[in-house]
Amino acid sequence: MQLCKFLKLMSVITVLALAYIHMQMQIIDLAYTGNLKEQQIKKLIEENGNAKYKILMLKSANHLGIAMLGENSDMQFADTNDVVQIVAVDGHPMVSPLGEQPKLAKKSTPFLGLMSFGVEAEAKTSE
Amino acid sequence: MQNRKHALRFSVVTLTLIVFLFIFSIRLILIQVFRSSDLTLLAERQHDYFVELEPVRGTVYDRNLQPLAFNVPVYSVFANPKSMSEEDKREAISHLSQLLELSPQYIAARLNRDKYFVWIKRKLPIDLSDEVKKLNLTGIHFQRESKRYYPNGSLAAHIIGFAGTDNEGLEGLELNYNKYLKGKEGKMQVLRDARQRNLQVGESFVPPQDGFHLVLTIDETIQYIAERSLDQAYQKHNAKAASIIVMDVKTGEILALANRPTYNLDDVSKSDLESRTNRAISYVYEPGSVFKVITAAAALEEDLFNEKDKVFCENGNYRVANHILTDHHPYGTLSFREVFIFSSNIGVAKIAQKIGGKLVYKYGRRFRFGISTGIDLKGEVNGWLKEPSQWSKTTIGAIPIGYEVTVTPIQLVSAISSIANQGVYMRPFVVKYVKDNQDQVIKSYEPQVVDRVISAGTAERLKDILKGVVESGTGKRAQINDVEVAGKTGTARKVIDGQYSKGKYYASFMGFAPANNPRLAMVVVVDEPHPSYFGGTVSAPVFQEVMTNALKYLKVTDQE
Repeated sequence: MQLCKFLKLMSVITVLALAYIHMQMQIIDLAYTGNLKEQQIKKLIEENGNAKYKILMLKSANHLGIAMLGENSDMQFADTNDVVQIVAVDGHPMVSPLGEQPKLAKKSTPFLGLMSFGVEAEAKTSE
Repeated sequence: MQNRKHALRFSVVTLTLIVFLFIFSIRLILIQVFRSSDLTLLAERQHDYFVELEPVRGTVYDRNLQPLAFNVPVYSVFANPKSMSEEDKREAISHLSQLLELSPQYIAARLNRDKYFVWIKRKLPIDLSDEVKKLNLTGIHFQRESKRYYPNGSLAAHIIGFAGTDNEGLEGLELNYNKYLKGKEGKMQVLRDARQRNLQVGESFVPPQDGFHLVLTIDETIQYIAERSLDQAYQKHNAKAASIIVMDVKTGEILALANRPTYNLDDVSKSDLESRTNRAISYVYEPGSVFKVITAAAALEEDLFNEKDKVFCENGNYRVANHILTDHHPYGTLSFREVFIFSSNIGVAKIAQKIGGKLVYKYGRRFRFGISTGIDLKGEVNGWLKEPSQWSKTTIGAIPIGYEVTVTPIQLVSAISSIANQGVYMRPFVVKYVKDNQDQVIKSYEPQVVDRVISAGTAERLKDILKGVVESGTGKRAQINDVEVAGKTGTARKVIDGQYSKGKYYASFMGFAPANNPRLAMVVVVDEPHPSYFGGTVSAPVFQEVMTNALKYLKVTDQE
C-alpha cells in the first residue's frame, strides 16, 4: 500500500517536473523567436535610419539652396506682390487673375463612360 | 569453500560500493552544501549577462521642426586579435585598408596587439558596414552604436555645436543642453547561449530613456539666406571674419546667427579653434558709428535735444582735449537729425559734450553694453563700457562715436531690436522648448522682457532718424523696394599693436524692417574687408539682400 502511494507521488512529481521542463523549453524557444524578430526590427530600424539620413540630407536647406540658388541660377524668392491669392466664393465659379473662366469639367459621354474615361465619380454626402 | 569465496567476493563488492557511495555522498554534500553559492555564481556568470541599452540622443529641430541634428544607428568595427591567425590578419588588413580607407600599417599595428578587443573604425555609414560584413572576416566583429548627423553640414554650426564619438555634447547647444539631449542608459538581463546569442529571458529589464528633443527659434531657411549672403560678402571683400544675426524684434527669438570662418559639423576634425569660435557672442570689437544710436537715444530721451536743433560740425576738424576729431566729409551746420543721418563724428561728439558723459554711460548700460545679454549660448562675453570715473579727457569724443568701448554683435542686434520694439529690451534666445518623443513639452522658454530702455516716444523718434540714414544718409545700400528700412552704418578702425590702424577696419550695419511695423532686426559685421571697407558699402548690401529675402519668405509687407 505504501509502495503504491510512493509510486503515485513520484508519478505526480515526474509529471510536474516534465511540465516545468517543457515550459522552460518553450520560454527558450520563444526567446529565440524573439531574438530573430529583434534582429529583423533592428535591421529595419537601420534601413529606416539610413533612408531618413538620405532624405533629410536631400531636403535640407543647405542642399536645396545649393541646388536651386546656385551662382548661375535666376531663381529667387517670390515677391509678395507677385503672389495672387484667389478666393473662391461658394456657389460662384472661380475667376482666374486674368479674368478667364475656369475650364469646365469634361462632359461625360456614354462612350467615355464605357471606357472608364469619363468624369470620375465623386462621393456625395447624403442630404 | 565455494560459499566462503562467494561471501568474500560479495563483501568486497558491497564494501567497494559503500566506499564509492560514501565518496559520492561526501562530494555531493560538498557541492550542494558548501560550494553551492560559488558554483551558482560561476554558472550565472557564464550565461547570465547584463547588457547596457544605449539611449537615442535627442534631435535638434529648427522652429518649423526641420531636423538640424539627429542620430542614426550605425556599426563600429572591432577585432579580437587573439582569435586571429596570421593568415586571418593578413586577409583583414588587405580588405579593410581598402574599404575603410585606413593605412595597412595602422590596421596591422592594431591587430598585432595582445588584446581581446581593439577598435578598427568607429561609426561607419550603414552601406560601408554592410560591405565589411559581407567579407565575413574571421576575428572581425561589429558593435551597434548610433551616430550624430547634421544634414545641413556647416549651417548654424556655431549655434548647434557638435557631439563627440560617445554622443556627449562638446560645443554649442549640444553641450549646453547635453543633460536634456543625452537621455539615460537602460539595462537588460540576458541569457547567453553557447553561440554567444543573447536571449531575453531574465526578468530584469530597465528600458533606456531616449534624450529629449530641442526645438530652436532658428529658421532653417532664414539661416540659409543669411549664411549665403554673408559667405558671398566674406569672399567678395576678402574679409578676415564676418558675423550676422537676425532677430525677431517682438520676442527676442534669434532666427539666424552665423559666422565666417565656419566649419562642417559632419567633419569637425578638420576645423580649427578660429573657425569654431562663435564670434557673434564671444568676440568683442569697437563698433564705431553704430554706437552713435545710443548717444542719440540719451539726448532724445532726456529731452536735451530735438531733431531740429542745430549743431555746428566745425567743417570737418574739431579738437577734443589733445585729440583732433575729423569727419569723412566736412560739414558746417547740421540739424540733430542730419548729424546721425550723415554720421558726423564731430556733431555726435558735440552732442555728447552737451549731454555729458554720465548720460552716455547710463544709456550705454541701459542698452546692456558691458553686460551680457543673457542669450542661452555658452561663451558670451560682456564687452567693455568703462565708467565715467575712468574716462580720460578724450573719452567724451570717443565712446559716443563707438571707440573706447567694445561690444559683441549680439549686444548690437539686441539694442537695435529694442528700438524697433518701442523701447522694450527682450532677452535674445535660441531654444524655444524641449519636448519628448510623445511631443509633450518638457520645458518651454518664453520671450522675456529685460527692461524698458527708452520710452515708446523716443523709440519712434529714433526710428525716424534711422529711416533717414537709409533713405538719404550713409545706409542707402540697405534700401529695399516697397519696404521702409531703418538702420545705422558703422566703419571703425581696428586697433593693431595698440594703435588705430589706417588700413584695417570693421564694417558694420544694424537695422530693422519694415520700419513702420518692425518684424526683423539684423546686424552684419565684417572684419577687415578690403579694398572696400565702409559699413555702408560692405555690410549694408548684405543686410539688404538678407532682409529682402527673409521678409518675402515670411510674407511680411510694409502695409502690415
